[in-house]
Amino acid sequence: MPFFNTQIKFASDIVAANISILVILIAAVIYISLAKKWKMTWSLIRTMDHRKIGILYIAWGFIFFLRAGLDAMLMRTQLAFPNFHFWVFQGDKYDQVMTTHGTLMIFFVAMPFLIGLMNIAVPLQIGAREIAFPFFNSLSMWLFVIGGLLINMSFVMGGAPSTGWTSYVPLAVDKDIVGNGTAFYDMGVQVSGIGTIMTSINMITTILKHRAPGMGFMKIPLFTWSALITSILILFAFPVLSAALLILLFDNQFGTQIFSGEHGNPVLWQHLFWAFGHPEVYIVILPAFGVFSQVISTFASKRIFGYSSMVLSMLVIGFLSFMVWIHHMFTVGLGAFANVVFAITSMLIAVPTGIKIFNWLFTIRGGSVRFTTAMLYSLAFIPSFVIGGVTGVMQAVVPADYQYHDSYFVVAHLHYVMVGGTVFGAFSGFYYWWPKMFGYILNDKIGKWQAWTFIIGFHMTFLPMHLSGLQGMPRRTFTYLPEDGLFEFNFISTMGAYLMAISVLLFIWNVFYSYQKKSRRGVADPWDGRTMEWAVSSPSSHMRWPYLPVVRDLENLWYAKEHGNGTLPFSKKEEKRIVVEKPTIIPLLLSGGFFTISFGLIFAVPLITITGFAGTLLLMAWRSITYERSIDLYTSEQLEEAIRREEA
Amino acid sequence: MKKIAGIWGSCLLLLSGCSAIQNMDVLNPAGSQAEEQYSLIKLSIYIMLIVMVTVVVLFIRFVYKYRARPGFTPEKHQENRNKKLELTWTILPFVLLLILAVPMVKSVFGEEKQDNTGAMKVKVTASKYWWKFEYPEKDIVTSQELHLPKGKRVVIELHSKDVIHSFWVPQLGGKQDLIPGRTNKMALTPEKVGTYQGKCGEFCGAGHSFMRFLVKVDSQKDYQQWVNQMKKENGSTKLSAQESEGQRVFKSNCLSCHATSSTASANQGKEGPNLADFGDRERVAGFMPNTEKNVLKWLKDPKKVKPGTDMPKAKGLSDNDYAALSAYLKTLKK
Repeated sequence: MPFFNTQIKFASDIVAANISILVILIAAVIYISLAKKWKMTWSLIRTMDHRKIGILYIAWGFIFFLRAGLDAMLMRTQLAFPNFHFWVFQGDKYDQVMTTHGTLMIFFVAMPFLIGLMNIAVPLQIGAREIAFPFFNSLSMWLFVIGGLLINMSFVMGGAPSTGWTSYVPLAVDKDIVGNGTAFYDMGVQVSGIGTIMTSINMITTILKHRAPGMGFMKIPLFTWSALITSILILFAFPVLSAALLILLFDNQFGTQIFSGEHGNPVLWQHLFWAFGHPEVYIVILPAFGVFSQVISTFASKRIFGYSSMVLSMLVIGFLSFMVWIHHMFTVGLGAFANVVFAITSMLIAVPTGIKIFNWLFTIRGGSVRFTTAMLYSLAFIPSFVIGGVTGVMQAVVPADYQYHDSYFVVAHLHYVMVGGTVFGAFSGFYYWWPKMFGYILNDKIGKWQAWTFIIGFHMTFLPMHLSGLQGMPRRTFTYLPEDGLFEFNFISTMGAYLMAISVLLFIWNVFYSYQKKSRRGVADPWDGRTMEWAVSSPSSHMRWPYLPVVRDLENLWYAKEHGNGTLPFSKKEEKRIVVEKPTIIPLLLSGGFFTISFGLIFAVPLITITGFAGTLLLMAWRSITYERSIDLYTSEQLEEAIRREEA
Repeated sequence: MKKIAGIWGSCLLLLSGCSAIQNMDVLNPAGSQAEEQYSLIKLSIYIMLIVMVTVVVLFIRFVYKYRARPGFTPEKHQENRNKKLELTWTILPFVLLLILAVPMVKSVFGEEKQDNTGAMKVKVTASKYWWKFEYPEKDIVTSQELHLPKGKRVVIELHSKDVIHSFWVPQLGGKQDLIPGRTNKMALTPEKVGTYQGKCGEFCGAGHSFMRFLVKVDSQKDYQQWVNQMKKENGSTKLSAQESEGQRVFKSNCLSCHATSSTASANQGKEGPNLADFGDRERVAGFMPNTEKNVLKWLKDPKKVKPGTDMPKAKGLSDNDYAALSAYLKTLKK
């Protein structure tokens, strides 16, 4: 079937994808209608509440997680046996699935999971009423959703990107091979990247300007610290990616030769990509570090060990993360000197990371460890991440990396840090802050089953990959030969991947099961919490704190529990202008504008692009004109009154 | 917890040397570069094992000792900082990294400073999805199988015709990228006679998995013999009727891209792999055993066998033509 400048071939996999999309859409519509939730949906998509935006981040992230996870299952099935032919997933189709898996997992799963948790917890932890710019916040979220949808749609619209999440040129701009795939990748990541940059500005402003009275820098909880440092990294790293993607768009759609062609330099793309890409790795791990710091301290019932060195080491990691990117390019041939310098800076990152590991261990020492599901994930993280960390140092050894580079050893390493770090952190954070998000607790028994299957499945999947890499299995390969001696490792990996899939299904079941049971036992502070988010009701209310809490200690709530009855003291200062944004549909419409622009650029239809631009500009103008009408102003007294009414 | 400990245990055991593992390509070097890389890998594994064991021991001890249980009261004095401990785990990693970094730096600059005068030269050109090997000193061009003499340093010049590829022979040495518009160099010194697997290490599209080659390391004498044979033209043997028919088919369909002679001049402007020694090769299309069945499968539908290949399907050939072609290809021997 012709579709703009491309052809859609209705092969069995495309038909299956289309049918499943249709079924899911119809099911969603039927569910919302039957449960009479249209009103709720309407208010949810217009929300300005940081908690609800955080939930939307996580919910969309989870949808993309399921898609990217499905891709992983298809890949693992194709790789289960040597010379295997599973459905259509060989050659180009495998590459499409592999690229979608990587791109989605990094940009549209790891990032939204963590940004979602930041949205939910950071304002509560620092005693802020709201994120600094709620409108921006909502727009960022919808831009991320649009970007993710673009990447997801590509599969049924003439072909997904197929050159890996790194999208190396000149392969990525070879239209005969990739079709519109690279354009989808380019625009999808670009649009969501714009949102991510806005989020980082939002977070930095919130944390710098909206802390409750008394909260000096050394009284900021570690999760908020990690959010701050991550946001700074985003602010410096993502513009590099945006610039690189813009050039890639020109090379790909308008035939310039900057990265490719006779005069282009393909290594330049690698420099730009990794100058962003390495900080990106820390962007998705630092907030997870933050989650572990909160969870371990809470469930070991002990103050975090070495708080100031924890903060310092995060700063050092963030700083160093900008000067190690060549370690992704040791085999490019940049010369002995460049390789050695970047090898040494890469090794140095092990030191602050090691400090953090030992601090977590010594937080446990002398405490009293409660094994909740959140804690289980945090504990499992420590050894898993150490494995990922030491293989990282091994790869910094340049001559040895000539062997590891682009082999399954790297696949093992990156999954050990991304899954063992980021995903464990996200799950830990979900279980931990779930009551704060939804007002009920996830069932601990199912949770433990889920955690154990996930942890065991994870090690089963990725541990053998170190060995298949050393046996010479290159990365991004869709099959191997019987004589390669790779069958056993791959088969174990595939079984482990299935176990992880079961675990994800258990998580979904847990969400529904616990929702029906709704265990509300002590739901405002179910874990005997130590930081301020546990001082507000669960789920946290949009309007809170007519008078701001006073911060006396790093663990402000714990301090109040030790030195009184556990209620926070509030400042007496009356405020005249508390701004509360009214819900609006403009962010969603604006992201629709970005979608139109992207669609026009991808399929090379200038008219659509221009329409998109015009619509976007008009909406921006509309927003500027109507700003005054889109906010409510309260004084402290009026807000107090409003909260009382709300509660009644 | 014990389950995890069990898994790590088995991991450590595997890494520290089960016999099956020692046969793994990277851990079973057959060239001096691979040997040096292997020794660095070993060193880093030992150092990292120290780290792993320390963390795991502390972890199991703390989690077990301080687990909340009836009758357990946590210590009254809770330690939140300890200068001595914190200094220890800041300084010790530096020491460990230094032990690792010094040999690394030595090795990198050592390889850089190596004297390449008198080394043999090979020019490798990668295309989607095959390898061309040129021996400029000997005026020989081959493809898919690289022949090297034992014990001689070989400087390999790396070129790419289309996208980025990476030259990797795990048992002889690590990778180096082949980047269009750029010339990279690497050196290999094979130390053991044998046949080694080579692969493309950088993702290069749909056929990446099948972009393989073999490296045949011979003794100096055997290698010289191979060179002499490659310099001889084919055609000394008498062709049967079917084989001459195949030659005719080859000339009208294949010759524009594939040369049957291994001299550099014969290969000028040929887009496809050289086939001068096709009958001697172990593999067809770079990855299948060189049997008649596989050759036919490959010729009849190249794109199905090797996704993304540039090799077109010949038009209008009958089954008999294919059989003849395959028979002729078998005669291309040295």
